[in-house]
Amino acid sequence: MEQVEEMQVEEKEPVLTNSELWYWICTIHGIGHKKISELLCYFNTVECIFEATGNELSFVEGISKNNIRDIVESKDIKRIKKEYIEIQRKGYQFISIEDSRYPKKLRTLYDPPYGIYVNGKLPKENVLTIGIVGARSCSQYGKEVAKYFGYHLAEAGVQIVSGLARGIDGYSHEGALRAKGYTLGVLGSGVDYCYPSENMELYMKMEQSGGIMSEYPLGTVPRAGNFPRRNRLISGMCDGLLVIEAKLKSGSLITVDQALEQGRDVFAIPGRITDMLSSGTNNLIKMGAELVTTPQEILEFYRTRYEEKEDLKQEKNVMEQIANNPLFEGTLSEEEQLVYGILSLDPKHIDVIAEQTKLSIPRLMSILIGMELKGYISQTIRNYYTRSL
Amino acid sequence: MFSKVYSGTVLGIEGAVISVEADVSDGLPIFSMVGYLAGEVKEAKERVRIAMKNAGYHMVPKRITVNLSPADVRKEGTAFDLPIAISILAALGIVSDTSLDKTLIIGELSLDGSVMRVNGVLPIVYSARKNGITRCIVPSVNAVEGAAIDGIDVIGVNHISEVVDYLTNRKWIEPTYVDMTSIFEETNGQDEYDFSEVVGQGVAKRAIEIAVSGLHNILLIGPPGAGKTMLAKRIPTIMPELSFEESIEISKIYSISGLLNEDQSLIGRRPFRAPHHTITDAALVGGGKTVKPGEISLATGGVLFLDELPEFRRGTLELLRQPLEDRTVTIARTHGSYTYPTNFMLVGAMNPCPCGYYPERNLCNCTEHQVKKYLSKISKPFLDRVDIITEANKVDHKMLQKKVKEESSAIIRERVRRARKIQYKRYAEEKIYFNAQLTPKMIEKYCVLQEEEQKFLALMFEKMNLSARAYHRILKVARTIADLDDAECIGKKHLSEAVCYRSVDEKYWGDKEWNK
Repeated sequence: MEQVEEMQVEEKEPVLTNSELWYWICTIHGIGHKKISELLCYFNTVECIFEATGNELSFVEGISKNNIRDIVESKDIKRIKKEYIEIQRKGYQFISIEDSRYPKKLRTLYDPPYGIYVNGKLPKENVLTIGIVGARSCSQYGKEVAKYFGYHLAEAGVQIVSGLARGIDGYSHEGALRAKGYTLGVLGSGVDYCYPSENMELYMKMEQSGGIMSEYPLGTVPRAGNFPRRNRLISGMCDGLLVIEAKLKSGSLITVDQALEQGRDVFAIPGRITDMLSSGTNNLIKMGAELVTTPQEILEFYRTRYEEKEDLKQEKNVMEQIANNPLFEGTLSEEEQLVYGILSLDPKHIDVIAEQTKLSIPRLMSILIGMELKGYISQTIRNYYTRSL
Repeated sequence: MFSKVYSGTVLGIEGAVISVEADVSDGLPIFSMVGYLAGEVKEAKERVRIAMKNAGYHMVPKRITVNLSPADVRKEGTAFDLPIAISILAALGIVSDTSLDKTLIIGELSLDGSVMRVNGVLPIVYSARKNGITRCIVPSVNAVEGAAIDGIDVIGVNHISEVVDYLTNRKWIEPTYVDMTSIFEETNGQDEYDFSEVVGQGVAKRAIEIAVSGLHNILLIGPPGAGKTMLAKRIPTIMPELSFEESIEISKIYSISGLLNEDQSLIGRRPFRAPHHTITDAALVGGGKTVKPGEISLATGGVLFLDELPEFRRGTLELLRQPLEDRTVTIARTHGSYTYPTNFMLVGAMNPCPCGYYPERNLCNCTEHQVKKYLSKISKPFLDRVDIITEANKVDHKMLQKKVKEESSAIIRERVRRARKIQYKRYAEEKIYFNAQLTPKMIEKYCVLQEEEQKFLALMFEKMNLSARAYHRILKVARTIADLDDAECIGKKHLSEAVCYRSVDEKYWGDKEWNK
């Protein structure tokens, strides 16, 4: 009698769904992307892997005894179900490669992740998506340009992908969010782990109106080794990659290499030849990357591919805008024009401005504040002023 | 026989008159001293006995009792040697009692009977005059210091026998006289430094001028070699000259710290104190076993300059918060508490980041995180007490070569004096002197904005994401700028300039960046 009851219990044991099976295989300790590929190569489907005995597993190349032990031990259906539900309860999604929601762009990669975790929304498939990458310790120029491109591209309906890191990444997300556009952050840690922590506010905004994506399980800490793989997803998720500032040896250039391997277009913002932070981007241009100076040029590049975006707002050339705009609109007084003419995207100290304009410090300060209030210029740090884009 | 001599000690910064009583009576030969004495005063017994012997006065084998009263005040220091000796001599009848009438005596004795230098002569003489004493006998090296107080004779002496000769009318010693007006004339306009030596740095100079006018505390930020220290050292030169009362107040502190030179009667220049960042808490605010004023009190009336501000231990900096607010510091000990004035202007200097070159990205490799971390070493409550923050620019060599005529300290000082005069007048009925001391309630009364200016300020707050904390500081600084401008009301231009000395704080000290 007792035996029968036990049998019934076992029959009631629930079966894992396809997604849950993928979740299982993606979270086994010591089993990474490569080993999953080997296993799939041998067993064809994830169900077969789950049902395989330890003996069968041992025939697979590259699977060690420890791996087999870990695989067998992890086949705890209740635990898997519980964890899977827990992910959804927290508001995240796990999307396997066999899921219909899985981004098509990633399928084209040489080594697509078998499962991705998403917080928020994934980008739309048929909308132009641009990745923006660059130096973490960027200059004021890089910061302004990143915000500018992020804002104007997003305003034109382009989806912005970046890595939610310090510097250029963060500023391009920020620009996109300010234009109320969609922006996706690809992390090198679990989607529930905001790194660096100072981007917490940005992270929370993107959770609401954009998306955050990672191929690493929840709770993964950001290890240096994760980032090159993360970078391949940034380039993988976009149609074209824009590099804003990069030194000659830069992580952004890894992303560029991967973008090229994946057949993405590469755009680069030029800089002065004396600026260390532009040496990498200038080099890219030398090697054939598309030189861009306005967001419009990127839109133009894709016009044929994304026809429906023809109603994009006509953007003024940045240089034209920087050089002339407020000066000829007649909104600035003579003194203001004089001051504005001296400013550039490079932060300038008040003393230098005073020296060049021959205005007294108190007078100059009220002019600067006045223009700052009008939004033509901004104070980057105390007493240093730049033009606003 | 019984006799009584007046002497003095220092309690905190004020002097106090102490009477030294001696009694010689029959009994077992013994020399005892009572009256709440510190260790060094108890030791006076030996010095007095041997000094008297070596000076030729034989201590009779009788019962000698010395009492220092009031007995509930702790007596510290070595200034009691001479009065004890004289009181015993008076009790023995060598010096007449009447000659000691209204006379105060201080001095340390060496074993051969000569009178040595003591600290705190100025506050003691000052309080002696208040207590109706007409003559002070002090060590001759301290005579110039004591002579700063007029209306009281200060007699400088070198040896105990000289004192006896003087008191028994066998020798006449001329009271020391110091020409006060010449002291002030001498020191004025003879500063080592002058603002005309600083090339460029227009903003920093302007900020300093405003800060000095309203006694606002100021923080200078800039790369290494921008001239932050150079600027700070010249701040006392644009402060108005010391008045006699101020000078006495400052000199008292220097006197009790033993920092007055032999030929110096008063401090004629505004102090500039620049303690190193390894300074201990006690050295900064005052304290120690025998309580002494700290750097913040020595900077009273002048400038306390803290270079490399983030390098100071955080706890040490936090100690400044209360003295900055109250303008005095009270050090409590079991045997009493000491209050010293701390009426200084705080000038801080620091680099913008660990390497010092931020935002010059070609030179600075610091990440934004590092920059923020470096700045966060200075706490918000501390920053709340700093009204003006300005960034000094690196001066390039071309500027140095240009022969530009820069304004001299005297010209700036004249403007500062005018602005201060306006403030004195305005706050005649309040307990404050400067705009920096305005309380929120007084700000409502004295920093009234017209409707247009109010709108303008509201717009700035909205656009620039200023915090509510910044509000009062901006108004205070704007008030000073208006005073410099000789304007009755605070105008738009005053407000916008004031904002310039504050506006980007949130970016520097905080994480408001994304809110914009």
